[in-house]
Amino acid sequence: MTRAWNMTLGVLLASVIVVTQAAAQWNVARFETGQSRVYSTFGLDPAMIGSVGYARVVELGGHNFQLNGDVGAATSGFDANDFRVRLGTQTSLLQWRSVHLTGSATFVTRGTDNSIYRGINFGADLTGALGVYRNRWFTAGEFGFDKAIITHISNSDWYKDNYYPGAKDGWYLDAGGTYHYGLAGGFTMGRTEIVGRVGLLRTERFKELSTPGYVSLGVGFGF
Amino acid sequence: MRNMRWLPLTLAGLGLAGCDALSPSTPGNLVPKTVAEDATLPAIEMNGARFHLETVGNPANPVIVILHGGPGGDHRALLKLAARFNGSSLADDHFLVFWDQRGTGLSARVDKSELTIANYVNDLNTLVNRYSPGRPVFLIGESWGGMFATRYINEFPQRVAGAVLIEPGPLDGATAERLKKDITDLDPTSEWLNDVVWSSQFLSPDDHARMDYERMLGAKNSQPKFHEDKLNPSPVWRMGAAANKYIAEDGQNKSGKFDYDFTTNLSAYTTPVLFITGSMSEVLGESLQRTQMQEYPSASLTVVSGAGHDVAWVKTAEVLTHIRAYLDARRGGVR
Repeated sequence: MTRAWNMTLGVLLASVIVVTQAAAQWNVARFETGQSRVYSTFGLDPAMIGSVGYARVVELGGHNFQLNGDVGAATSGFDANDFRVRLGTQTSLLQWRSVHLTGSATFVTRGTDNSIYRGINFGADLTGALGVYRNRWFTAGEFGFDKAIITHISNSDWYKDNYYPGAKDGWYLDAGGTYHYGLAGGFTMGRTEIVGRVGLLRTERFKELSTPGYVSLGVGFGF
Repeated sequence: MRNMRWLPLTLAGLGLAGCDALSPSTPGNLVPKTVAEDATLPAIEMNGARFHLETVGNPANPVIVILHGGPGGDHRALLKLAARFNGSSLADDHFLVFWDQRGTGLSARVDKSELTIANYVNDLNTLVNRYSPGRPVFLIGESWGGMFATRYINEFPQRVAGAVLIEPGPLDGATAERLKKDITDLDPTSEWLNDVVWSSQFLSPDDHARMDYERMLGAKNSQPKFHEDKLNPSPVWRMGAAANKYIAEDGQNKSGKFDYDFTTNLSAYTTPVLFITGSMSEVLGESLQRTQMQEYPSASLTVVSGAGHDVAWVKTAEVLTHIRAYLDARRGGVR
């Protein structure tokens, strides 16, 4: 196996080890006011990325909202230049018996540093999911839109020197957006919840991306 | 609340940035303007499209048409072939035609329906007839350009007085299928590939300019077996992402497997052809070219030491010496 694969497996195992005493996350049926969680996710979304986060459920107007924040970095070569920070909230919007329509809104900051540019981007993700949420498991279909609202690009010297000296550095508006739609599900073991997501990615004009889909695994520990 | 003072300032800053923001889709911001947007660039109209084209030398001399690589590259790096080395230039006794193929480089972007191999061959034939009516031309093709030259010779052997093929890619689909995993590093853990997919969250490939810009993400590390110079890479103005995708797809069957064959009629072309390869090139290097030259009834191979796939860029003087010797040997055949 390659070194990269060993590191990938390492991150995955570390994610699991960190949360072996975990409780549920993401399952709205288990939201309880005052509950805190730490969690870790790993997956292809859209590059290989691992993240760790913290969530807390708060009550607002008689409604439970999970507020969460996480930081992640691309795991290929542990490239900390390719990072993501998310702050968001998730809640159940409508409920009929065990069927919930959930919604989440997330503020996303991403960074990258590659051979042709260094970028930082501010965006937002809105996702809705409809599914069955029981105390020990849930399954849902999800549909969301992740919009890169404004992006700062600094073209690399390598790109300018060898390809296009006139490339403009600065803030770029409306540079990208991605639809994601697929399935999410999870189950609970004690205070640990394991969740997974799998689905397809399309651009905001519904064109294919170089990574056509996403798949991620998350584990959470409640306390 | 004192710690929150940064928040309105940041939001105000982002707001101001948003008012003065650039568009990634506007040509000239991230990738150069093409002849469709910049009227000062040398250009010709041909077959319903606008092409960036430059000529060097006396039009009365035998014509050499230069075919760049890709598909989707451009002729910028190949302009070195017009330079003077050791007191001699190909332009001294030839008329050199450099052009960016349909939808590539500084040529105008076109709809994907126009990006077909048949259109490319038709464009080249139009160019040959425009600059060398009634007289065959020489072709110099690099990489994809060598494949393109072969495809043209296969259909119009009488229009070609000779050809220099600099590390042509696979001349038939079966070879392309065999080599494709070695041509581009598609290891899912490779950093360049992750950079490409990560970047799609910053610049989604929804228009040509963004696609072309992100295509450059592979320029540095996607083809390690080509052993090209990374510190001084052979330059392009713009990688035509659409041309790269759709010309390649035109050579594939419905299952996505390459099934083209540019060699079906090469037996009719008895003119000597010169192959040139870099000694360091692994995939498209000496081994492949020794096999591919067998497709031509008369072909020779020159291996240039100390160079990879970008042999014409890093060893220009040496490559020109071989081209000059080849042309001198062919002299008289076209005058």
